[in-house]
Amino acid sequence: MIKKITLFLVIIFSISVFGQRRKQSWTENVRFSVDPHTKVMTALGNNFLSDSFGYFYGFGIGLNTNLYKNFGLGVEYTYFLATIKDRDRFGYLGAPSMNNFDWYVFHKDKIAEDFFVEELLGYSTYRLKSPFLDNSGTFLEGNSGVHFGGKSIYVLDVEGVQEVVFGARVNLYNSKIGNADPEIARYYSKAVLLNFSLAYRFNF
Amino acid sequence: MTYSDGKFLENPIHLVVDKKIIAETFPKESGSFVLAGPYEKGAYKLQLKNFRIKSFSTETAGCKISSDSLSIEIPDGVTYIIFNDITLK
Repeated sequence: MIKKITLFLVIIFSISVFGQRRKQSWTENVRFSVDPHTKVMTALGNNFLSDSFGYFYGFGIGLNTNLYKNFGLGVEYTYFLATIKDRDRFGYLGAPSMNNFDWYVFHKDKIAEDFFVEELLGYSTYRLKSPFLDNSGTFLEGNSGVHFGGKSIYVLDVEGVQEVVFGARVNLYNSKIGNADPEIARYYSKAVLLNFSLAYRFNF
Repeated sequence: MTYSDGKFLENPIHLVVDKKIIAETFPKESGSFVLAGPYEKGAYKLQLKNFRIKSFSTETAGCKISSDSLSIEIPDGVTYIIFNDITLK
């Protein structure tokens, strides 16, 4: 009888210790970071974004949280501006601005004490806005698409609070611009965007 | 675009709906041009400045030269049109 109780206590004890350790490691690993960034973006291939505009230059802010083990969630907002390269295929419109949100899941790999790599996969929304040249209003276009990419992270201080992040992403741009000619509809609706980012990250 | 006066190249070609300019371009020396802009409901006009149109050819039915000869009226709902030739007066 005494033996049984001892065994029971031992089991309870070990479960509670195990449970506590799991709980601790779970909360300890949750980290947050904020990173102001600049981006440069260009459209690849045969589409109106690539023919009509020069490079998109943008700035914005990102928030990341390392949720479980090396996985985390992030969101980035970027405000882009672009110059017009050729107006023939775009319309009687001025230089566009773009509001872009990237929502993503990432996985972090430790390469060295002060160097990490993140792979990410997510979904983006875009809102392209251009004024009509006669000031008769603005032209708005909303789009979305999947994106994937990677980031290299260099730690700047011993505490690991400040980091420099260099990122590259491929964004797929899909809208529903209709036209009687399917080739023209595709030309205005689909694009592949390549963007590079440089960010200064604070961990807390 | 068939033209005889070289000044034609200096004038913009407009795509107009309800008196609002949707797209603008300048013709190339060969006379060819591409014009595109955002779609708004209504009947479109391909509009020239200072130059009058004598004739045109297209496979899209329902187009006609406006009374002032400065534009070609395109029927409502057309989103894509090729003019094989436009001849000026």
